[in-house]
Amino acid sequence: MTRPVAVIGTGQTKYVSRRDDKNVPEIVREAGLRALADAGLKPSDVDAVVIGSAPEIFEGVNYPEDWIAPALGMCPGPVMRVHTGGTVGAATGIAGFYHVASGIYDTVLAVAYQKLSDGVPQYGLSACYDPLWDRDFACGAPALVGLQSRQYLDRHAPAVTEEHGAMVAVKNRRNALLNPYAQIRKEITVADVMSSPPVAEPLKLLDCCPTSDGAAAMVIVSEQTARKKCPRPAWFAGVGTCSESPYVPHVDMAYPESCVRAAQQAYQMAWIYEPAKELDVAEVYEAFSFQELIWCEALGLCGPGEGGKLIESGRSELDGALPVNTSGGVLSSNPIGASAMIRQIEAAMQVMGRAGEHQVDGVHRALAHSWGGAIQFSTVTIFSDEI
Amino acid sequence: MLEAVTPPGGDIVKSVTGTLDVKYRFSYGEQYDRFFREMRDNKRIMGIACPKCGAVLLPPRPYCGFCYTPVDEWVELSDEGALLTYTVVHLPFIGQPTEPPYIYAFIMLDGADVQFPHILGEIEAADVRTGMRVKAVWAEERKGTLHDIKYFRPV
Amino acid sequence: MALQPPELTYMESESRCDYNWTTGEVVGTFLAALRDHGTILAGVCESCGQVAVPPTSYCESCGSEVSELREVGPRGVVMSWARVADGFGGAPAEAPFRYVLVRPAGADTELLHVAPDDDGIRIGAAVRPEFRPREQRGGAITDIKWFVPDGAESEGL
Repeated sequence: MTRPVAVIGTGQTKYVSRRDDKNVPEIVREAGLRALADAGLKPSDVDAVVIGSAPEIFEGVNYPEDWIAPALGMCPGPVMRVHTGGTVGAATGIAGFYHVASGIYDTVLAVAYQKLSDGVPQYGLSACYDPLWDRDFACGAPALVGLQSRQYLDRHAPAVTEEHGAMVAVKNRRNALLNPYAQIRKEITVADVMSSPPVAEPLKLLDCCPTSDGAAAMVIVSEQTARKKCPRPAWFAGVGTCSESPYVPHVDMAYPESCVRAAQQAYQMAWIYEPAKELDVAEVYEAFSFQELIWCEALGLCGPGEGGKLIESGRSELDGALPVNTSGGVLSSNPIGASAMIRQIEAAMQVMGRAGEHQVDGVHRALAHSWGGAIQFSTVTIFSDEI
Repeated sequence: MLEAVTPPGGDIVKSVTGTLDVKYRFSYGEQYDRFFREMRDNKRIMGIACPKCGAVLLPPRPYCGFCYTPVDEWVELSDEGALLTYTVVHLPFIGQPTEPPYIYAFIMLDGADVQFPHILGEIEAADVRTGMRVKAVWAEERKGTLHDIKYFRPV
Repeated sequence: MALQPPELTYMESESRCDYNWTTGEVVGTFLAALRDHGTILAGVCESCGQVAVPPTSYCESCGSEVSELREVGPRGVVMSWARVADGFGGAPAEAPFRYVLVRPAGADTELLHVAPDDDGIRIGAAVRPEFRPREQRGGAITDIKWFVPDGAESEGL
């Protein structure tokens, strides 16, 4: 195991469909300065910066780290950019963790962002596919997750139904009402979801996430600094990442191997044997409603095929035994490059006791998950209130 | 925040528009080249078999993605197989093969261990079932892309 | 197996991506000043006093807020230049031309722009911007057509 590392401050911008008042470096600076203020630190305290965002085609500016790093107030200094599909935000936090765990750096600012409104998101989503293979047939992420969701529903029918996906959307949109940063803060019903227009069946409009502009940041520090600056740090207890090939035999989108492996790695590191019992909160990357159920199963928060039972039981509600997506989830805000870090930020805030109106009582351990690419990247990060 | 020397009269420039116009020439490489020539000239779908783990892979590539053994044994696959999963696409999107709605599908061709992506035709969305048998309908004019197959129809 | 025959080795494709980049208040004001007044604005850092052009809302040297915009130039000094002999797609001027880094009078940093292929463009030379006619200006750095030699060497600008 590595030396102890903790998150002691987080920052976010209010997620909206278009920030027309600032440019990209300015929104990243907004989140970065908030995280530093939350940590009780200044830009000059930062030893290194890690920057994450989805491919450049989204904003149309190459090597944006060049453009953004000076806005964080620590140039000249070490800067690194990270990208791993939709998991990029979490990989950025994990890269920050590696920086400090290595012993080389003490205080690292990890920032992740996206300004989808500056471009046309479809160009970026389309270009993720192999142009010589299936780029023309897909319609970006909705097509792939449509396939994933259909496979999941057919495998477990009738125990899991489209209504269960709708219940996830209803829960997360309701949770977003308590999150001042969330983009979509509007309560919906199962009937609203079921009657919304189809996108890529079984996905309907209200089963899908929005596109957003926004930035998120975390201050990641050594034990010495954490104990000095923070009454209740969120310690990195377990970290797991895995990437698999989408073109191998027996790829199972409805129970992805990369998710299972990343979870195993994180649970082993955190000495967690029964995640459903030992975790207090989970943030999973549900860009589309059915994915919340799929990830809960692959993470072992419920058994295979029990996603429907889970959402019906109320166990994953804000006042349930294991609340899932207390932030409102990706269904409520989706600045792609930042979305996976927002899951980590929520998990860390829950452990630090800084989640405001959506704070769950007595959180000791919280999990943040993300997926990306052709459902081949997965990350799992576990925060704990003790080392 | 800002005590700007703002020029009187005229608004600030709130945004700047621009276009990135990029042309590409994607090289097929040896494996795709042979795969697509077989489709174009012989209406054959080829896979590549791994001598170590026995998997038959699509699209063809020089290494098995499962066990990293170099592979070069080409295997003819059927142009018929079982539907692994599907989705009915309604979302208009750049580069689509046809106006939505259309049925995007992953097909397990007989003989292959990896899914083949395409679309379904000659079937109503409501009648599609996971596991049903489908067969390729080849295009008259073929150019060496996945569009050399028009769609897969139920058998 | 034999190398690919020439007719099936590649697929041609084209991406045409449109963007609408938000500028933020400072850059938006800088561009408006070019368009409406033919003036070049720089940002003044409230902490270290650096005068930066083009301006940003944060100081790129020390990370503090930039609280003031101030007119600089219009004359400036060539800090470096590079001659472009042959045209290329998307070139900012017709070849042959010169890229120039110009430090406007009163600024601590340089603007990247273009200049005619003139031997008067050399390090240390004094230059001034030639703006396009008002009706051709749209609030872009190209509202300045280019920088041209302004007579003798700079006199301690």
